[in-house]
Amino acid sequence: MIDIIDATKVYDNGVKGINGLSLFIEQGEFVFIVGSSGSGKSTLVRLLLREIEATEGSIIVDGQDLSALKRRDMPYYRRKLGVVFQDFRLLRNKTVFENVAFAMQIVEATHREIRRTVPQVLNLVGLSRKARSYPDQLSGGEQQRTALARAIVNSPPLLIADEPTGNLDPGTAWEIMTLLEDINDRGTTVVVATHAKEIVDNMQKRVVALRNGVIMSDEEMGGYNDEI
Amino acid sequence: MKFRTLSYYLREAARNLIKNRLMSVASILTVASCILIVSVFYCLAANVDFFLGQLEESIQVSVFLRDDVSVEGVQELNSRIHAIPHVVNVVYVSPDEAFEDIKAGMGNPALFDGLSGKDVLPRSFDVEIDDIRNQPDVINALESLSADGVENIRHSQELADGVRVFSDLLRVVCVVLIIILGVISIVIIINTIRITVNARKTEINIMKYVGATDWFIRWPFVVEGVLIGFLGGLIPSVACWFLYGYAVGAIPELIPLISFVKFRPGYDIFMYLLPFDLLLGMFIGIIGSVFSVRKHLKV
Repeated sequence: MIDIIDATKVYDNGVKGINGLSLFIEQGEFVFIVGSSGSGKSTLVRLLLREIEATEGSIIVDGQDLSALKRRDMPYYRRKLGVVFQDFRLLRNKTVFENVAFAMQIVEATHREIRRTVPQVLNLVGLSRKARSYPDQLSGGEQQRTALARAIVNSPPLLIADEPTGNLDPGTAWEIMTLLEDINDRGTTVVVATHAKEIVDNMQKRVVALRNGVIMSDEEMGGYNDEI
Repeated sequence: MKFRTLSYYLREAARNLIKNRLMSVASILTVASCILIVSVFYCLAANVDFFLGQLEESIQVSVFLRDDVSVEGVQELNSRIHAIPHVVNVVYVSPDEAFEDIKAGMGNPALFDGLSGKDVLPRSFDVEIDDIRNQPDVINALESLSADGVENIRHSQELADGVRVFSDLLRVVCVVLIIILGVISIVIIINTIRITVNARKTEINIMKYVGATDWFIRWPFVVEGVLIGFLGGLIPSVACWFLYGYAVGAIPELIPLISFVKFRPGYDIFMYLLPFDLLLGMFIGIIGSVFSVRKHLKV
């Protein structure tokens, strides 16, 4: 699903976000990317979203070489991704239903498809009763579940979550992680960049630890290494 | 474009216009103010041009004939002058007719008692030309008829040149002013729409991450710009229509000195001004929207 080969990102100010990083993630895997601030987690997420381009090396996602991706093709690439951010990034003037439906409108789904699919996805994330609520009327956990519903409504093969529990209390964070695990069980590849040690230790998934833009460790069923 | 996508754009544009109604009204009034200035200037320019046209028509060339030209010779000359390119009309003026005109113009006809036209005035033609710019060519052609009986040609080249230069200058000034005001309008509207777009930059950012194409994001803003521009063009057109009607009636009463001036008919102005204002408004709206959204699309 993801094949990063010797990728380096040097920012305009000369700082290296990642440095000669190589990483292979198979279809259907659940992977934590961990590391302290400045370790390269965010750079890696931004590279996968094609928000920025690698200075050297190549990044191939679902068979698509991101360095060869033209600007006009970027929206179509991003439709293959589900994205969840720490700050939820919901549209404030739209209801929960509309926020999720919005991702389907972009791919020009019919009204019938939207009316059929959105309730199913809201049911999956436990928000059926909040469909008509606006983001400001929801708790942090509910907002993140809305963002998750939006991310998976078009059934993307890859879900990228950048600090998805950063703004949530431990109980709610755990609920979100359980949901991510459910989504992964349905065949979606899930990549989670996080600081949340307790969650990483308890989930017992593959853990890729970064420091100074390079991979320090890559363990199946790993935990959060305190040394990073 | 699919119908449901089009209906999405229209719904989003209407929803945004209503939701940001204060900014929408501000944008509409900004466009309307700029187009009103252009429209008022257009009305003025159209009337000055109309007045110059009337002045041009009144500038005639008089061709005086020698006394020895026969009646047949006069008819032959009439035909030959008619055949000169750019000559619109030729009117034969007998000495008596010319004399009556002079008497009528002097105010005291008693001074001319005992005189007749034949005693003092030659026969002549009043020659009307299609465009004052063609006067020199026509004069040259008339001068070549001197062997056929043309004795003298009277024309006012200086006045003709003056009117022509002023008329050309007015057109240039008009175009330049419309361009300047158009650019100012676009700059103002870009800044006004940019404020509404800035308020929605997070929304645009989210749309980009969810996989929206640039045009999917841009279209609702463009539709919004078109609606703002349409209303911003319609308001000054309607305002100008009423103002013009009022001005045409009121100016001759307020300033009797210029009561002889004829105004261009309202329909003659507004059949061009209304579509021009609407198109200008929508063009400004579209350009403003596209430029305002552009920088937020680079995510």
